[in-house]
Amino acid sequence: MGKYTPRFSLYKPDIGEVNWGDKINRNFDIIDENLNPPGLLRVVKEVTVKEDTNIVELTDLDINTHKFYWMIINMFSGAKMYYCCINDLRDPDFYYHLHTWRYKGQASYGEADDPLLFISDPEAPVQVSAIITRSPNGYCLIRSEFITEHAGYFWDGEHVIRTVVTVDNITKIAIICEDYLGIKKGTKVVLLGVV
Amino acid sequence: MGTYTPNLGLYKPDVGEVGWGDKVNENWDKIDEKVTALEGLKIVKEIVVDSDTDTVVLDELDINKHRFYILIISMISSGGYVHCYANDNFDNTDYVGRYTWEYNGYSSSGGRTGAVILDADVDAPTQIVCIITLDPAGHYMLRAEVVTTYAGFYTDARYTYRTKSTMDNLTKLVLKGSRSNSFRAGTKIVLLGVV
Repeated sequence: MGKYTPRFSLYKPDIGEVNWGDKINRNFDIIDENLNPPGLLRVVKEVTVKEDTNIVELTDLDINTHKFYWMIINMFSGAKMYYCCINDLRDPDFYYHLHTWRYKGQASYGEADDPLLFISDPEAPVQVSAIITRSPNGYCLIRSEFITEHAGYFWDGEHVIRTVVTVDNITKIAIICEDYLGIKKGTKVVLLGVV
Repeated sequence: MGTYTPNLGLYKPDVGEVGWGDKVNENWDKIDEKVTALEGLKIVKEIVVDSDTDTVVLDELDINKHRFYILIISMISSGGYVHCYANDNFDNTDYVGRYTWEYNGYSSSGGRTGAVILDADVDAPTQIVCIITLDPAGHYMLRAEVVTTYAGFYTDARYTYRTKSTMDNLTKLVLKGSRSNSFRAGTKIVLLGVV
């Protein structure tokens, strides 16, 4: 009687064992199932915040390979303004954003020279879905849709962000809040890309 | 004497070779160690309604494992509302939310309860796309983007909710119509999560 590997349960026949052909063929089936075909949307990075912080960085990215990124953020907020910077472009003047906020029975619109990804109230639950792309001429474009609470109202909004400078690649995404330790423990960020 | 594959160094015994067992067993260890099954967005549940019904249940879910859900519904409206309840929480007042409808050059929005994700004309072809998350504190959060027909107009709608209560996990989604047979035969429901 042979043995099985610990993770994928691949069969290893014993010396002198006979009739193991089917089990070895099953190995190839397991490998075939678990080897991943290219071109699927997969988790590229995943972060669960262990301690309160004011920045979450997703590093070692490559949007030229991964085509685009889809970022999902689940958080319990600790601040009001959350920004999304790429690479090492931390100066707000590198970005421009437009926003639509809906709350109560009204909507408001605005814009600013910064990468504002979403707004919230401290201690509000937040869901953010953001699509991140790099245009063929090198601008980073971000569209975020979010739901949260702000100013005492349940809100939903959209922000669109564009860099005013071009980049060759997007290798780093940073979520930054304005207030000290405003990204609370337990916040989860999942980044999907084409792999 | 056999040969080795270029990437993983897997041994390939020659025809008629003997004593290759240990080397082939090493292959399985190499594969088990080096093959990583990347997680990606995959179908967790898929339902095609085979006969008219009031309720569709997506059960045996585990959002803690699947991170978030994308719920896509393709249906013909029977009029009235469709709710998307979490687990067995049917208390409409627990779902705090808001809606935005845009149709005929007009936009209306306001507060809403009850996890309603559709309010449409009878016989309206309808597409609903929801992003569903739990925030770190356990609030159910839902954002639904809807294309349908309302009051005779082609309508782009959005519904967003969160629960006041919290939950440890989301294991069930219950789609419930306010009218009998809200889900007609042929309704298609696909739920994706990270697997």
